[in-house]
This record gives sequence, C-alpha cells and structure tokens, in this order.
Amino acid sequence: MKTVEKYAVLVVWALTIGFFSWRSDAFGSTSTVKLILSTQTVILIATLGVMVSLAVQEFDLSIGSVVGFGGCMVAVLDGVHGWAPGPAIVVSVLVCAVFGLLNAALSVLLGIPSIIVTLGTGTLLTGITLGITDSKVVTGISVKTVRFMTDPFLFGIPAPFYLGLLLCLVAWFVLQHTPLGRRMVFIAENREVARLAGLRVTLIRAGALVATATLGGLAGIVLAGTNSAANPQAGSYYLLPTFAAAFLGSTTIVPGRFNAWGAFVAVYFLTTGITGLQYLGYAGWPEQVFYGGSLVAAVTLSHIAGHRRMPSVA
Amino acid sequence: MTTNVLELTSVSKTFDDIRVLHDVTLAVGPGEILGLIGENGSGKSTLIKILSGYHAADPGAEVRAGGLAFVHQDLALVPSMTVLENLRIARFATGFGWRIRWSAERAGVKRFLDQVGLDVHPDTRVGDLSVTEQALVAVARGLADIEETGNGQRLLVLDEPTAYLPRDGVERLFGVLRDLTGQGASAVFVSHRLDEVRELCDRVAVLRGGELVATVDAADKTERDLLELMLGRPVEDLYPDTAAPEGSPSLTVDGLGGGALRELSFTARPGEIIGFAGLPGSGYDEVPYLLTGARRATGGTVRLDDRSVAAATLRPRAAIDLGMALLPADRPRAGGAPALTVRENMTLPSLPAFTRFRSVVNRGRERKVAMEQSERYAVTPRRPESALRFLSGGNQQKVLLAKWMLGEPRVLALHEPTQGVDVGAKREIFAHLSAAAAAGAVVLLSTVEHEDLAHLCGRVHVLRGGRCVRVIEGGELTPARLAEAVYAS
Amino acid sequence: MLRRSAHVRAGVALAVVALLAAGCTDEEAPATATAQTTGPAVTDSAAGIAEAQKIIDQYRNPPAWQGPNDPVQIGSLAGKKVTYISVSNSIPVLKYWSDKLTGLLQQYGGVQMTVIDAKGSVDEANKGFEQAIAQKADAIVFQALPPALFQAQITKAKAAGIKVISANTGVPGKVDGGQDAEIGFDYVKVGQLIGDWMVVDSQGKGKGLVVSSDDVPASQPQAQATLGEVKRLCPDCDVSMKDVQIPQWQTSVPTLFQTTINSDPDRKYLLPLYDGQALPGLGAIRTAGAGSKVTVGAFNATPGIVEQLKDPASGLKLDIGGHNEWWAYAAADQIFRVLSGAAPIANYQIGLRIFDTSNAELIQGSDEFAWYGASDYKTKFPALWTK
Repeated sequence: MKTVEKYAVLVVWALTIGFFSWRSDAFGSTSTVKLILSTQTVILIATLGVMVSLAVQEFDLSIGSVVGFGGCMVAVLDGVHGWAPGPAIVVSVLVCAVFGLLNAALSVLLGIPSIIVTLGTGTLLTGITLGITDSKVVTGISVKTVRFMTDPFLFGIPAPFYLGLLLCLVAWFVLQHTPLGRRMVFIAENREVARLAGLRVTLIRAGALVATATLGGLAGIVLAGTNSAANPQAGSYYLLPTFAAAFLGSTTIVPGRFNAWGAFVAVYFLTTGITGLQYLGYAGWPEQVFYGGSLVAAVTLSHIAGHRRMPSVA
Repeated sequence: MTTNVLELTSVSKTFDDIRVLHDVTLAVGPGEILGLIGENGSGKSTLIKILSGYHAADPGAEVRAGGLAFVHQDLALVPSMTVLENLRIARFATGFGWRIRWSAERAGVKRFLDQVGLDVHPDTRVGDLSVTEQALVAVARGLADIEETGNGQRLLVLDEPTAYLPRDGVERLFGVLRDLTGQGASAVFVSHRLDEVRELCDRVAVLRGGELVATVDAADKTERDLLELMLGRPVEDLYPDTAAPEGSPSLTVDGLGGGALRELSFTARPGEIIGFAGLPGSGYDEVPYLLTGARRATGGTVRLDDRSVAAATLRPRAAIDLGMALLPADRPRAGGAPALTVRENMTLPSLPAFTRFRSVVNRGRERKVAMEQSERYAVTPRRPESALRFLSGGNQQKVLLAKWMLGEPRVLALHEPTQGVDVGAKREIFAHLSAAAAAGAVVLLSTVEHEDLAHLCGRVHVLRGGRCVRVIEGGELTPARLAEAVYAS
Repeated sequence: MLRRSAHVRAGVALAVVALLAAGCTDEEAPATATAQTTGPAVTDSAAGIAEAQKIIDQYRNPPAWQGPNDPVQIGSLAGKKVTYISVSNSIPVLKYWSDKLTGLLQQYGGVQMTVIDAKGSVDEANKGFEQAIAQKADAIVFQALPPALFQAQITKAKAAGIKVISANTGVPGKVDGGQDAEIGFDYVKVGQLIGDWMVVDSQGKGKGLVVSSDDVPASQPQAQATLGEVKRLCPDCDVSMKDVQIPQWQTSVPTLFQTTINSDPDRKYLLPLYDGQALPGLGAIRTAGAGSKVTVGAFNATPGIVEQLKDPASGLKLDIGGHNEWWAYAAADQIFRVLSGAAPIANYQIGLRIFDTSNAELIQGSDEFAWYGASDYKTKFPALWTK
C-alpha cells in the first residue's frame, strides 16, 4: 500500500507518456523530451523554493513577485546600467535573499502568520518591480547571459535545467539526509516539541523563508535570461503553478512530506500532460482541466490514504 | 422493577478475524453509576464505540439504550466559541425567518448549567473557563443532548473525564454526578484511576482480553483487588524499591520563580526522586518547565554539578546542554510529534550523535538504537517505523521517556508522566524512573497523584501561593499526609 | 488561499487586459469595419501575393493622415467637465494617455478632465461612474473597461444627460453597449496586416498558427481578421488557431510554440495577438535553437520586446505598432465632437506601422513615437477644432 502510494504519480506519469506516444506520432521523440525538460526550469526552481518554506509550515505567497523581481532586477542592472552579467546576477540574488529576510523578520520574529506577511510584502515587491522597470518590459540583457540560459549544455538541453536538477539533489539531500531536514519536519509537525527538544526553531524558519526568496530570485533570472527580456508583469503567474506542483509533489516519493523528487516529478508530470494535450490539438481549457484535476485527484487520494496532515494554513 | 437504562446482551465484535470483544452482557439501572475498567487493548474502547454507534456489533448482539450522551477525555468543545454555542451548536431554536432566538436559547442553556452547578454566563468563551468548568460544560452538553433525543431515561458515558482535571475539579465533577444520579440519571464511568472508580461507582465491570471477567460491587473491593482482576494475576507492588541516595548535592536551585511560582529553593543529590505537590495555582506544576527553560523563569539560579546559570536565561537548548530533560504533561502538543515515527521522535534531541561527519543522518544506527530503546522500555508494538500516534498513551509515554534518556540527562523533570496511561505501563514507567535515579540522575516529579508521590519519592515539596510551605519525607510521607498538607488552608 | 488567488488573478487579468489596450480592442465580428477594408477573394495565389505586398509596402512606411476632415465647433465647450476612468494608471501607456488627453482638452477646448484610476478593479470603476454622475460631469470616458460590465452605470449616466464614450473596447465604430461613441485602434486592420505579412513572407504557401487569448475582448476580432485575410489572399496557405489565455501565457505559450515546431515543422508562422503574449515563447524558441526555423509575428511593438526583431535567435520577425500619441489626439477630437453634439467618427484609422526585419533599424532610442515617422496629426487635428 505504502509503495503503491509512493510511486502512484510516477506510474500515472508513465501511463500518460504511454498514452500520448500512442495517440501522437510526434510525441514519442527526443525533441519532446528536450522540450519538456528545457521549458520548465523556472517553475522547477520556484517550486523548490516554495517547497522549502512549506516544509516548515510557512506559506510564501510572495514567490511570484520574487520571480518577477529577480528577472527585472538583473535586466535593469545588466541591460540598463550595463553591469557585467556575473555581478548583476549575484547582486540580484542577494537582494532577493534580503527580501526573504524581511519576510522572515516579520513572520518569524514578530509572529505574524507568513501567509499574511507575504501577501503584503509580495504586493509591495511587485510595486517596486514596476518602479524599477518604469512598468515596462526591460531588455538588453547580455548576450552571454542569454546564451548561457538557452544554448544546449548537455544532451541538447540548456544549463539551467541542470542547475534545477542540482538544486533538487541538494534539497533532497538536506531534507532527507541531514539533521537539518529532520528538524524541519519536526518544526512543521509540532513546533512546540521541536522547541522543547532544543532546536533553533526561529533560525530554521527564517532560513527557510530566505531560501525561498533566494530560489525565487534565481528562477526569475533564468526566466529573464531565457526570454532575453524581463516582463514586470510576468511573475504573478508563477504563484499557482509552483504551489500546485509542491502540493502534488508532497503526495509522492515521500508521501505526506514536501520532498524534492516529488516536486520534480510533479512539475514534469504536469508539463507532460499539457504538452501531450497540445500535440493532440487540445490547447486551452483542457490543459487547465488536466492541471487542476491532477492536483485534486492526487491530494484527495493522499488524504484518503491517511495522510491527513496536509499542511494547514496559518 | 424499573427498566434498565442500558442493556447489552451477547455483544461481540470482530475486526479482520480478530475478536476484540467476546459475548459481553451488561446492564445499567436507573440512578446507578457503573465503572468500566480494563487495560489498553481489553476491548474497552471498542465497547464504547459500539455504544456510540461508531462500530456496529457482530450479528446476534442486542443493544438497548435509553437517552445516551458521551463525555470524552478531550471534551470535544470548541474553545473559541461560547458556552451557549457549544451546547446548542447543532440545534438552535429558530423563530421567524430562521433567526436564532438568542434569549430563548440562553434560558434553555442556563437550565442545563444549573443542573451541573455551573454559574457562568452562557456567552462566556469556553476557552476562558478553567478545565474543571469545561468538563462540567461537556456534562451539561451531554444532558442537553439527552433531553433532545431521549425518552426520559438519561445515561451519561464518561470516558476518562478526569484525565486533565485537578483534584478539586475531580471532586466537583463527582459531586455533580452524584446529584444527577440522585435525580434518576445513570452513568458509565471509564477510567484508569482505580481510586476514583472505587470512590464514585456503585458497581464495576472489568474487561480483560475482550471478555467481561467480572462485575463487582465497588464497596467490596480494594484498589488492589480491582487491579488484579484487570491484569488477571496477582500484582507485585506497582512501585519499585527506591534506594536512599548518598553523596553531595548535584542540583542546587535557589530562588526559582516564574509564572505562579514565586520562590523555590532546594537541593538534590544524584539518585534522588523529589516530588512537587500542591493545588492548581500553587506553582508546583511550573517547576519542571522553569528548570528546563520551557517557560521563562523570572528569577533564581540553577546550579548543576559545577555549572551555575541564571534561571531567567535558560532556554530549552541551554537546559539540554546543561543536562536537563523535560517530559511535559501535554503529550500530543509538547511531548512528541504524533504523525512522525517512533524512531524520529526518539532521536530528535540527540540527532547529532546519529550522524556521519556531523552532517548526514546515519539511519542504520538510528534504527538500531530505536529498536534497542523500544526493547529496553518495552514499547509495544516494537515497530520503530510506525507513527507515534498509532501507539497507546502508555507506549507513547515510554517512547518519549526513552527519547530523553538517550541523552543521559543529569536531571529528569516530569509533569504528570502517567496521565492517560494504563496500570501496566505506569508500573514500567515508574521502574524506569527508579532506574534512572539509580544511575545517578535527579528525578523531579510534579503530579496530582499523591499515591505515586508517596511511594516513589524520597521527599515531596508541598507548595502553596508559589512557595514551598512544607517538605514531607521519611515515615511521614504517605498519601494521606500529603493530601492533608496540600488541602490544608 | 484559493479564494484570494482567484481575486488576485481576476485583478491581474483585468490589469493585463488594460495593458494590452496599449493597442487593442474588443467585441465580436468586425461587421462594418471589415467591410470597409476587405476586398474580394483572389482567384490565384500570385494575385493574392501581389495584393498583400501592396498593403505591406504601404504599412511599412510612415502612416499617412486619413481624416477626419469635418471641422467641429469647440468655442462653446470651455468649462465643460469630463470624467475619465482609466482601468489602471500603473500601466505606463494608460498613464501617458490620461496625462496627454488632459492637456489637449484643456489647451484647445478649455475642457476640464478629471482622471479616476480604477486600479484594475470593477468596483473602483463603478465608483468613478457614480462620482461623475454626482458631480454632473458633461461626459464620461472609460478606458479599456468592457461596456458589458457597466450597463447599469451607462444607463444611469445617460439618463442624467451625460455623454458616455468607451475607449479601446470594441471594433471601431461599434457602439452596442449604450455608449455614444467609441475611440480605439483598428484591431481588425491589425489582424489583417498580420495575415498579409504572412502571405507575402511565405510567398503564398505558409502554414501558420494564430494564438488567441479569448479573455481579452479584442481577441476574436483580431484573430478572425488574420484568418479571414489569409483565406482571402492565399488559397494555398493554412492557418489554424489555438487559444491561450492570460494566466497561461507564461506556462503554456512556450510549450505550445515547441510542440508546434516538433509536431508540424512546416507550421512556422507563430502568430500570437500581442508581443507580450509572444515573449515567453521567444525564450522557448531560443532554447530550442529554432530562431531561424520559425517566424513569430504579433502586435503592439512594446518597447523592450520589439527590439528582439534585431535578434535572429528570438524568432520574432514581425511586430506591428499603433501610435499612442495619435490615439490621444483622436480621443480629444472624439470628445469634442460628442460634447458639441456633432456626429462621432466611427474609425479614426489611427496610425499603424509594420516593424519587421526590413526596417528594424527604426527601433532606436527611447522615443517610440519617432519610430513611426508621422506627426501631421499634431497639426491636422487642431485645424479641425474651430472656435
């Protein structure tokens, strides 16, 4: 039973691949694999980001804003002010981390629920994003950056995908194999028990929120680099897909816990479905039916299977 | 002859071919309080669930009950809602346009509150009441439920209602129950506390291994008799022998204060088991939390071995480093994480000891040690990979004790360690406390169980108004003397 | 959480609709407008290419003044009050329009304009209507807000004797929401131009995909115009249509572009409505190294995106722009006409220009109006406004 649950999404993923390969000649090809792996890196990295804070029961609703901000920041520094790509990226990521610190200070130190804090700070950051870009699409990102983000790196897939894979590996290792990961699980499950066991609850919760914002910024930089332009309005559309993937991921591989490979599987399973539907000519509403339906089905089945401890809000 | 309020005839229950209840026949008469006792796994909870309709009995059984209401250990009240709302949540009287008729509701609710002798306004938030008052609200709700559905007969099923009550609360509750039965209501009282069962009940039904092994008059039996009926064998003493410790004090507490505790000073030698007793509000139950940094102390110093710290600076982490361990009373909220495994719960405070290169958790070693600890502390089932919540209360407590003992604490502070724990597990827990003391730890025990304090401790501090008013030790240390000192005004 | 997101999404969607209004509009089949500009279907492919080429050549050049020519008496308008409800003034072009229009009305007609920023909220816009009615404004202009949502307010305003003008909500001249007039870009023409361009670029045998976004009111008129124009001028062409709505632009456009490239490599004309909708797909094209294999064409010539015409790896080869300052003059003219009781103009034919690889060097500097090479509207309009 437990094994079934563990690999259920993987099996459904395999069935999805099988079905679309059968129905569409174009689907079963290496170019499809490349397509699926190379277009979802932004969502993958942002999903890992929200997963880290969900793993300690914090809801970071500012993730979309951070994705948008990170991209615009790097575009402004690089494209408008002419910074070298390296410093522009490093400074952008650092600024996002500082934003994470603000979230942490308000929600962890002052004790305001993170879902409320990040709702506010996210809107604030969106405003700042519009401000620094004058609400316009920013262009002029260095060719070097754009090429790094889009040129094939290995097996015809650009480097950011491998960065996402590496981040998955790190998240998996930390969450599953280090004392820190174990402590995060306890903080999520029972904060008082964690505190009484002498854990640095405050520090770990704050760290998770900083990590989320940092990864969000990184995702934004990949987005801007890939598009060769940063759209200040683009970030908000990443909020729902990332949360959907993180929740779907929590029902598989390590059911009942937010886990890195679960998130990975969820992101690419959802894309596979959407890509397959597009091959069959069902762009538009069927994609959303598939997206929402998969999430609800997985979470419902997980709930029935007894993992009633789906993270609660606030 | 008046008809019985409850009649069970040949009730059995089988789950997956395992018969957990076998041919139970039982009756409760009007005005009677029946005690229902049995170890964990005796079929007690299954029987109650059949009464509540949660389980259906196997075919062939007959269950006949009059008006029936349940009061559970956790009371099932909503703290953020008012007394009125809690009592009437499902059936507000409505007038024209389905508007709730608040004034009529208040009057109706007041009547039930009067029956349980509770003088609180119906608009009071339940969370603002004391635990005793909350228990009485739960009883009042039971009465209201019965009136709604019943046929004039009233039977309250009380499942461990006293688990979280202070002694005076227990007495108040019992007084209310006696008044109610005096007016013709009946009750089934389920409890691990055999002294309370004897005190309250007319007859006692004893379940063992799914069978009803005896139904006896409470007045005829001693606590020990009831215990032996439950266990099905003569009991060795519940309490281990505790050796008188020697040597110089390892723990010196000076002027400790915080919460209800004003000022407490004492010293303890390695191997001593020291009790703290008192009425609610006296501060006796603050001691374990203040010493381990779980709650902030406002003053005092703590000296353990040769290290001295200001109590106000103690935080859980610092206290653990100092050699303190805390077993809190609120098991599901503060003791362990119910959804996580036995292994994970056990190793949490001493996780660094289970790592390679201080960074990778060595799960193999964790499993091995969790299994060893499970064996040493007789945790059943012996499955370190199952979630803590699947274990009975007693076994959970053993896991949590094992968790802290892994760190070999110099001071083990406990608050109500045997609350909601059956007699067998209680005995084992006491044996482990004694063993920990014998190994050189100081054991500090805050509890309302005077019997336990008298038998386990070498010395008991009785607190009142936040200060120690008496130290009882040696031949003087009996449950009666303790109760006297605690209740003396 | 979900309820909140739905709200945010609705708000964002409305705001984006507004953003697109930088050059877009609304409503169903382009009945009248299409009739004016659509010729008969061609009989052979060469004739179609020739006709399309003619149109393309014209629109690659600076847009020419196309009227109106009737003067309007504005001497009596001084002191009149106009309330202007903008869907969201945090979007630069909308802010630009409200500022520019305020200046033009004051400068030429002595008309006072009050700007209300609805901040992407229907409630705020409703409040704007109420406020205008309470203050007895002489006209209400609502920018990039669907008239269908404000039927009650429009009726109430008209009952109070207030003129109501919609902006960028419909096919030019189409006023079926109870308003007195409409002022907007000609989206049907935009759609046709995209079609013409594809016919020419593919020499009469292209396969294309129009990506609509039906949560934007102007989506179908523009998309259908492209389809219709290609059908009219190119018997051998093949254009299909798929719908990707605003919330899915970021996630679905990239995969849609790539699945199209993979499953039907000949279908190389990818034609979203707007360049903002195309942007996420340009990244996917770059990632797939398909910049030379596909041709992306869209509308808006948004600064920051239109520059990608110069980057072959992006795949963007066509971006049609609409002249925003021209729009402001046209709006002022329409307001003057409505206030003075003159007949409103159905279609101002506000300047459109094709930017593609042939004239990408025009995209230079931050003054986007300079790219169009047309400024006679600045004198032609005031000449019509007589005392």
